[in-house]
Amino acid sequence: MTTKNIKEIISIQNYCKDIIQELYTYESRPYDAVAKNIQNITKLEEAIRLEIIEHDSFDDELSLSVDTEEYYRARLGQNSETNISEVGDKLYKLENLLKDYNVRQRSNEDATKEIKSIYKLLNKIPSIFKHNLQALSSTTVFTFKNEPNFEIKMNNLKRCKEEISQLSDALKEVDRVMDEQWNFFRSMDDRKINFSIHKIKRNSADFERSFAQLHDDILNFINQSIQDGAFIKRLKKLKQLKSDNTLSKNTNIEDLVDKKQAILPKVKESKILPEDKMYEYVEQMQEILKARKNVIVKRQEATPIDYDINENAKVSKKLYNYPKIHREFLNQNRDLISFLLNYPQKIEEEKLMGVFVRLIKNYANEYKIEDETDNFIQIEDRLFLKVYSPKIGINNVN
Amino acid sequence: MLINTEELVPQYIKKIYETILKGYFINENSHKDGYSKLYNLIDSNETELRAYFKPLGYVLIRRSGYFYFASDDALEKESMLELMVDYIDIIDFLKTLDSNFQASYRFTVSSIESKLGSGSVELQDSASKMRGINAKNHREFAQKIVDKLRKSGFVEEQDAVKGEYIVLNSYDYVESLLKEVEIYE
Repeated sequence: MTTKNIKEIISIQNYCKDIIQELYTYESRPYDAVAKNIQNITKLEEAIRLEIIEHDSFDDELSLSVDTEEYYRARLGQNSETNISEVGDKLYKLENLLKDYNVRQRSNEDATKEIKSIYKLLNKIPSIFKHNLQALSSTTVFTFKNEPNFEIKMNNLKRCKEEISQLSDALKEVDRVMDEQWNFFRSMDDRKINFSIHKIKRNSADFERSFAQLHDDILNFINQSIQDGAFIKRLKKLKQLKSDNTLSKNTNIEDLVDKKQAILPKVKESKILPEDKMYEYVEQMQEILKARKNVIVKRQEATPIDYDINENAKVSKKLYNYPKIHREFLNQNRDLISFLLNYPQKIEEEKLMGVFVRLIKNYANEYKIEDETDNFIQIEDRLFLKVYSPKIGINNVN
Repeated sequence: MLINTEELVPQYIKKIYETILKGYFINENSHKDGYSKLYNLIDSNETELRAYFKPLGYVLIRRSGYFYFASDDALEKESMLELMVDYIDIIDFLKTLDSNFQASYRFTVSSIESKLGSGSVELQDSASKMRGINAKNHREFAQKIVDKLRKSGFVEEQDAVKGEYIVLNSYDYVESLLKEVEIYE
C-alpha cells in the first residue's frame, strides 16, 4: 500500500523542480531524455509513485499528472478550464447542510460542525466565480487572438458566450439562495458566517459588472471575427475574378483607387531633384533664421520705430540681376558673402541677406557649400554659410 | 498657418524627407531606425508638419498606428492599383495560413515553411495558385513572400537570431483597401 505525507511530496517536488518546469512548459518529454539528466533516478520513480509525474509506458513519455498541472496552473493564474457546475454543486451541498443544521437545532444538539462546514462552503463561492471568470476571460482572448482556424475560433467564441451566460445565471441563483436564506443565516448569529454572506453580496455586484463586460467583449470578438470571415470569403472571390481577368469589370476597384490618396513611391537616386534634397540645408537655414531673428530683436530694442502719420510712404524697390551676379560669382574665388559685400554695384546692407538666400535657392546645385555646420562667416550679428564657386573649389581657397 | 521652425527638430525633418523619398511608412510599432520615435514626433506636431509639407507637395496621411505621405498623382494611383491586385493572392494565402494575420502578428520564415509542409490542402491550393511567385520548395516560397512583405514596408525583422518578423501597422494600408472593394453580383 502506498503511503503519502505532505513533507515527502514537497521534498520530491523540490528535487524534481527542473523536470516539473520542463514538463509544464513542453507538456511531455521522452523518459530517457529526462532520466539521463537526473542524478538520482529513484527520486523520479518516487515522483511517479506519488502521482506528481505520469509515465506513459506506451509512448515511454513523461508528463505532469492532471492534478499537478492543475495545481500549478491555478498558482500561476493560468487555469483556462471553467467549471461552472461547481457553483450548483456547492449550492446543493449548502441546502443539505442547512437542513442538517435545522434538524440539530430542533433536536437541541450541537451544530458546530455544520456551522463550520457552512462557513467553509460560503467562503469558497466567490473564489469559484473568480476562477471561472479568469479562465473564461483568458480562453476568450486566447481564442480570438491565436486560433488560426476561423471555424474553430467561431465555435469557441460561441461556447464562451454560452458559458458567460451560464455563469451569470449561476450568480443569480446564488443571490436568490442568499436572499431566501437571509433570515435563517441571521438566526445562526455566527460572526464568520455573517462575514461570508456580506463578502458574497459585496462581490456579487462586482462579478455582475465583470460578467456584463466580458459578455460585451465576447460579442465584439464574435462580430470582429464575422467581419474577418466575410473578408476572407471576399478575398477568395476577388482571387477568382483576378484569375478570370474580370476584376475591373466585376468590381469597383478602379473607382476606389481614384478616390484614394496613394503613398508616394520610392524616388530613384538618379531622379532626385535639388529641391528634393533641401533637407540637407535645414540645419544651416535654421542657424541663419536664428541669427536673423536675433538681429531683428536687437534692432527693435535699439531703435523704436518713429513715423509721421501724415508722411507719404516712399516705396523704392531695387531689382538685382541674379543671373549676372551668379555668373560673375562663378568666375572668381571668394566665398559668396564676401563676394556680395565687395560687389561693384553696391548691395544695400539690409538686402544682403535676401540676395544671398535667393542665390542659394536658385543655384544651390551649382555651388559648393561648406559641410561643417559650425564654420560660418559672421557679419555683424549674422552668420553666413561658406559657399564657393565649384570652378574654384573649397580646397583651392587661400 | 504660422510654423514655428524652432520646434521642428532638423534631424527629424531630414528623416521625414528621407522617408518620403524612399516611399516608406512611418509605423508606431516599428523598432528600427528610430521610426517609432519619428511616429511620436509626427503625432505630437501633426498640424504643423502637415502645414510644413503641404506647400512642398507632400500630403501627410494619418491611419491607425502609422503615417504616410501621399499625392493625387495618376501614376501613383496606377502603382496603388498594381499593389492591390498583387496582394489579393498574398493576403488570401496569409489569411489561410492564419486568420489572425494582422498588425503586430509575429512569425518566422520557418513557421510559414512548416505550415506549408503540414499537408493543409487549402493552404497548398492558395500557394499553388499564387501568381508571380515561383519557388522550388516551401522554404524558398516562404522566403519570397516575406521578402515581398518587407519590401512593401508591411513587416520588419524583429529578432535576427530567431529570424522573427513582426507585421507592421502599415499592413492595414493594403488590407483596408481590399476590404473596401465591392463585388458586383
